Amino acid sequence: MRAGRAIVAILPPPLALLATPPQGSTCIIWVLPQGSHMTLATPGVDPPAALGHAAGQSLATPSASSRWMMVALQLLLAVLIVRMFEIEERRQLFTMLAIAIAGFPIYFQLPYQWRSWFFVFLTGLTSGLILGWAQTALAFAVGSSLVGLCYLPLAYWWRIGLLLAAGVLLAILRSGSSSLFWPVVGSMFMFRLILFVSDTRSQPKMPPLQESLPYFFLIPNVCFVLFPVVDFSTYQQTRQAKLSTEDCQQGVNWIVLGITHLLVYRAIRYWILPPPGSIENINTLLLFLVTNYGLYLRVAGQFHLAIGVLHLYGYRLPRTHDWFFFASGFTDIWRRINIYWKDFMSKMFFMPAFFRLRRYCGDPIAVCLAVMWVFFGTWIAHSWQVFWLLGEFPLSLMDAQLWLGAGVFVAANALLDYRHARHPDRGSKAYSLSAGAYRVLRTMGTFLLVSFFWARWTNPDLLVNLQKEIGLAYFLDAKQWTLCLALLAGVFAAGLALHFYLFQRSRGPQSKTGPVLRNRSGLNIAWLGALFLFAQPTLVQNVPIEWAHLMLAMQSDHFSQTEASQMVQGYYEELNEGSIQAGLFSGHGAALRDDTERRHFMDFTRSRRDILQIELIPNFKAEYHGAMISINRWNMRNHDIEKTKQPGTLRIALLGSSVVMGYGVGDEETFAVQLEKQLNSDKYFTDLNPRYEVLNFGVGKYSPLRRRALLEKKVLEFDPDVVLYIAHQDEIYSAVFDMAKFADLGLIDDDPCLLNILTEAGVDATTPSGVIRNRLPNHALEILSCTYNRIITFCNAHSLVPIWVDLPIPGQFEIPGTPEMARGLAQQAGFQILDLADWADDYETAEVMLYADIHHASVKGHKVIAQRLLEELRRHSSLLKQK
Amino acid sequence: MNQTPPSSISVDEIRHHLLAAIAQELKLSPDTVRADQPLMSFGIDSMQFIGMIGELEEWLGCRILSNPLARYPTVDDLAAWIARELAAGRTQLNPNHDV
Repeated sequence: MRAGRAIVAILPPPLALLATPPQGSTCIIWVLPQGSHMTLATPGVDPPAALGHAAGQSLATPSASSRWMMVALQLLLAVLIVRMFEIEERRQLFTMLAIAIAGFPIYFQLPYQWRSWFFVFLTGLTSGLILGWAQTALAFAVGSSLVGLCYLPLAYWWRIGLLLAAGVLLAILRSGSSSLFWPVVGSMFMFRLILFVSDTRSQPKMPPLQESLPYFFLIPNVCFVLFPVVDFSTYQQTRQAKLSTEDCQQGVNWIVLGITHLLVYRAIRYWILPPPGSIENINTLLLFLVTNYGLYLRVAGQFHLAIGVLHLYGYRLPRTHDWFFFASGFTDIWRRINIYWKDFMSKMFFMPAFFRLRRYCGDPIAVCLAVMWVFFGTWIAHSWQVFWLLGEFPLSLMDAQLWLGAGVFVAANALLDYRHARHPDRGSKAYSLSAGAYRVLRTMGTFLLVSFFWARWTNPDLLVNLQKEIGLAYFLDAKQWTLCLALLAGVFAAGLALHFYLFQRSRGPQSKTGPVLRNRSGLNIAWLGALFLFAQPTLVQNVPIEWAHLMLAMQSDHFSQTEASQMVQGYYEELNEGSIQAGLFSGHGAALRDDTERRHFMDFTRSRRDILQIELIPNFKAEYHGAMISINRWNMRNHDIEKTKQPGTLRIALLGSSVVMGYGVGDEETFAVQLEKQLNSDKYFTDLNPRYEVLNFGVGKYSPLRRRALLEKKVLEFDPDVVLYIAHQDEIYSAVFDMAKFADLGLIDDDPCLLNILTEAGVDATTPSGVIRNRLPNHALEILSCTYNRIITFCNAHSLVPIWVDLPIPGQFEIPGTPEMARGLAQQAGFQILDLADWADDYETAEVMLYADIHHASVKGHKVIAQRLLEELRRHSSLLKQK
Repeated sequence: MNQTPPSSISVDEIRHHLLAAIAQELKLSPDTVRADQPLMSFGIDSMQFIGMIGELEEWLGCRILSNPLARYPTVDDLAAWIARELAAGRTQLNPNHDV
């Protein structure tokens, strides 16, 4: 342990007394049992001096001591689980949570007037570690300037004018900028500044600066840019001067609930959510709608975590979501889901509009018009949010229709609510079966309608695609409807039983409403402890491999099968899938990234009507991102060659995807070119053969089926001796994907093996494409096996040496089928295997992959691949023989 | 709840009326609703609030012209303001004009 280092420890009193810091170290110890308040001490120093102003407090009671111990244990477990399960790793939740948990005991030991500055310091520290110090400096400069404008000694409307001018200037700067600090600053100010300005206007004087700054610079906001719109008045009113075990426990409860939400979200996303392409009947459609809505749990989980962290700092903020899946009407869902948003819209849009409108028309009409005004505001506000978080302003008419359509339903429902509020029901309090049934049906109906709304919003083309690719007939299947109705009846019965139980409980002695989630520490510890055990390697090693796969998948923050497949192969546009977004922005971001990739690749390809579908444009030459891309006259990313090879030359044909083609690197930087140079300059190889030519037949989006077709249609014309077939993790997935596509287009007519698979799968000329896509994955291994066997047969017939190269893309991609399965099939078919599985192990991913596109190798990556291929060929030099 | 139109109304009566209305809307015991806390912090939503305002207006024979919660967020504040306005003989109550 180095001298001068700060050590933070959580200790009960006996251990705290024994603990002695090393020479020169600053040791911060949580001394747990100081009554109901947490205090700070340094062992070895007299308690009164160390405890400062906290000295003299009453001695701890055992119950207070144990409560603090429980809180400390829960927080420790929560941080461990976030780390072990990589929860929100891409947002660096662990960093934020660790700083927040380490910081709050110190926060409460500081004099009151210093705490706000310390809180802002912690936000800066978190931001510095997550965004980098330069980005943090920019974020704080912009944010402080905005707050500063609010404090100028000018009349209210002058300050508003200056803020608007600053907003316009910042919007101009934001457009087209990809700096990391923008989403964070945007998230901190885009709505909260409006509330701040509005609330401080009605206050007799401006709040002190140290009270305002933490309102904007909230610690969890650095991590979660999609953040609850915390109301300024609520923030002021709920701030506690002392930390009680109850507040702290409440914060822990929210944190644990947030973690649970995020894990459930992960399970839905990885295991349950069916890709839109697999929908082929009413039940799979319902499953998609329901699970797609379930992805909203990510937003709820993030909000719970954010509020939980703020609770630790004494902000007793109200809940952000309230059992929204159980909403029983349109206004009910509005008041249960994202409650802070509802409050914001109510305060800034509904109330002002209602009170103004009622001067001119009756209250009922004012209610309806004010609700429509709220939904109009919601439509604009969502685009406003997307602008600050992503830098684009997607103001679409489709969204307007959707939001205003929802507004009509909510307005009608609000009218009923208003009438009910004016004339409250004072009827019987006895249980009524019919009322219970009506409530359950309303809840089920609301759930389905909101799921439908969510799917329409996140995947606008879903219904059109279903109608086009599947057809109505499949959704009218009587058997499926029977099953569907049985399922719904079961849900209804369960709902009725739950309703009865809740009704009885509400009449019992415990009906008095108290703080939510109180005294849950034992449950939290049990749950977090179970998760801790679940993540132990010993457990994973002792369960069946299928279970282990699922358990490991749950423990990492990676792309889902659909997302990963899309990115590896660039099939995003073909899957037509923007659906699996949980937040407002994730889908937009993915779409943007992929559109860019597609445009560049498509620029130098042209379509074909056969199984190859596309090919590189002959003689194309252009510069992309500083890299020269040249295509020769034979549609190859290769220098110009003659079809007939010179005597004494050994020709190696490279078959593969965009990685082989060399997407993103210059002509001379592809591993194909480098391999050729090295083979011709290495005496060991030139002794074997006087000359080598490596022919690059790699084309982006070429799956095994297309590579096989290319080999038969074109490669043979160049008289190769060796075929190097380069495989990545997507061998199985991409083969199935292309097979489904070709079957739909009727392009599989010359391959008895594949035709046989189609027959087994029950696919014929009349089968809708969506159904084909759904059925073929069950035959994935057979499809790849057929393809490999055919390649081997072809190579044997023409005396070519077939070599299968295992070249995985670094990173975790949960794509159907493991690389081992593909490798096994290749071996079984008769390929020679070159193992490059570890080619990137000695490097950081960022070193060997392109910065902006982690699925293609960088210049250095190509160098490493060429070098590794050379080594492997040296080890298997007997394969390098001319025909 | 008292439905009799009042001739002269006190702050306490308005406070009591509001607390009872909130408790009824939220199905809480009236003694759990605190008059010094922001009204919206009990979880009452905008529709319930404007319903309560409508009922209050009907009872008091007045009209509230603007959202009173921005300036008078608690039941105590709201009741005191309404009583003061009524005592001043006003029936068109605008919180923005009462500084």
